[in-house]
Amino acid sequence: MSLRAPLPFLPLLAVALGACMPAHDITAAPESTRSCPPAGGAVAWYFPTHAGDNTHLDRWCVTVGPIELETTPSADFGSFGPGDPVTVAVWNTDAGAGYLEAFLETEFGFTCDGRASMLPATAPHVVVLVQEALRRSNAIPDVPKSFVTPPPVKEEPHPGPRLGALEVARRCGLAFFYAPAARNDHRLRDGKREDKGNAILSTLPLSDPIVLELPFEAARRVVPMATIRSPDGDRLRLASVHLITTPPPWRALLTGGSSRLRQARGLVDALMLIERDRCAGTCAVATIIAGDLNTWSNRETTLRELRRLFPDSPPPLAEPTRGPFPTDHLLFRRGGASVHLDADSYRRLDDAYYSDHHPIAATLRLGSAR
Amino acid sequence: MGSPAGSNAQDRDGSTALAFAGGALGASSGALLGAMGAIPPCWQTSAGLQCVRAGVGVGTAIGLASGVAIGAADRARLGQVGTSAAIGLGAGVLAGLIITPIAQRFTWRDVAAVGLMGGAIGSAPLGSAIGFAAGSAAGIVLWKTVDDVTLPDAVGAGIVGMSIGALTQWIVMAVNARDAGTQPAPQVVLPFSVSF
Repeated sequence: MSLRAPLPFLPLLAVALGACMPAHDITAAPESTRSCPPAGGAVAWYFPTHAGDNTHLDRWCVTVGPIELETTPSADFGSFGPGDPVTVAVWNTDAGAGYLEAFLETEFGFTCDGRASMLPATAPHVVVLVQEALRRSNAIPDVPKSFVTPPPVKEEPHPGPRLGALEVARRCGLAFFYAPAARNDHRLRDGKREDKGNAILSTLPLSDPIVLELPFEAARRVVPMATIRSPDGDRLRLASVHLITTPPPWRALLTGGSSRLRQARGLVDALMLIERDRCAGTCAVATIIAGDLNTWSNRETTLRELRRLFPDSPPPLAEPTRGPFPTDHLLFRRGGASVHLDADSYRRLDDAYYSDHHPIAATLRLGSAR
Repeated sequence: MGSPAGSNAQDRDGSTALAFAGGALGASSGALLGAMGAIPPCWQTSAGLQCVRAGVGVGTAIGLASGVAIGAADRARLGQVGTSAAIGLGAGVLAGLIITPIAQRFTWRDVAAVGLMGGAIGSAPLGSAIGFAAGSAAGIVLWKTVDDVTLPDAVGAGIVGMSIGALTQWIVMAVNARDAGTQPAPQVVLPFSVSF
């Protein structure tokens, strides 16, 4: 008998199973086939170049409402001087499950009262990077059930009203930037349509708003980015990130389980492109990427690669943030800026505020104290 | 009257076509087993995708070589493996269909993928079961005793064990098929008679 006959199967199988990770390249120019998001506006968009990604992303994008951006806090949270601390908190709120208002009041001492909202006199400014942020709004388009409208996130009820992240931001006088990723059911709830995405809430003004659509892996994921500045001009770019959980079996086999790495590489590619677009690559803005990376351990390949590219990150937390998994992380790169992260301040907050994730937080200082 | 309960000489006759079929079944199963066994541990290392590719390559090579050997030497054994894989495939598809209404974003392709994985496990069920049990046990012991080992590691150890066990069974089946092809066929005589 001949051994040659089955050999053609070998490369076929090798390629089909675990050998291919589609391209993760990012561009600022959307594919001509994209009908959404609408062109123009104050927000810069970045997209994957891969045609297959864009086909999927467009189908998801048409079901969600518009970006929402309020660059200036409506309340006066006090001055922000050189070297003053700012707390960056990171939290997957599990859509409407997380009790965001209680989180702000308890952890940071907020008094939420619209324009009269305030922080305690000695408290640092606060920026919260939210994942699975809920929006309840009839600005979200009414689309047929046949469109991509994932089922609602399962929620445990919490005390107080069920509010979206932007409703809380307005109640607490915060600047905010919200980028929706997907619908939260096609049906009305309490008379309103719902979508979910990532958000940045801040007691400091936000500038240079950017949204990145990550390479498509089973669901649309978007990364809102914004910059805060010290009086000296030191800048800190913040990105609220939510990587894919577990891809479906077909995708996992086809890509060898590389979904999160592909999305992380897309994010890194976008950050490089953003810096190149803004200052021809000569500037390296201090950057925090943080959020629910859905990692199973602190040893995961994706996290290793991101930590290598964000060398000023604090050591990973020892405590898990979702069940037994250390899913949530804050990664930091100083760049050329005078921005310092106090590694000892990096911590998990023990109360999950009815979400399935614990928040994490760290303190930074922009500029040098005089 | 005597009746052969084991393989007879005709059953043991392989052919190029059977070697091809065995190779295809072995390579497919081995690639899937390699992928399943490599994905959990590989993504805990810096090697990531390269490590997965190596796992798929090793699994494919073992499956291919074993499948060709079985097909070339033992028609009956290849038939048993094929039947077993088909049962696994069916069970996998059924599991996929049951999961579909519960899981998000689960399409017919995912049902097919679960079916294929079931087929790969079904091609070597005993090795899969023993390997899974041994891997899980080792994983649980390590999880309970070593600080750096987490629950996902323990689960991953079970899956790795399953893949290693299944691929080991493929190798054992190939060795047995080859040995059977070089020795006289075992004749088992059942001790009963029929009278008219």
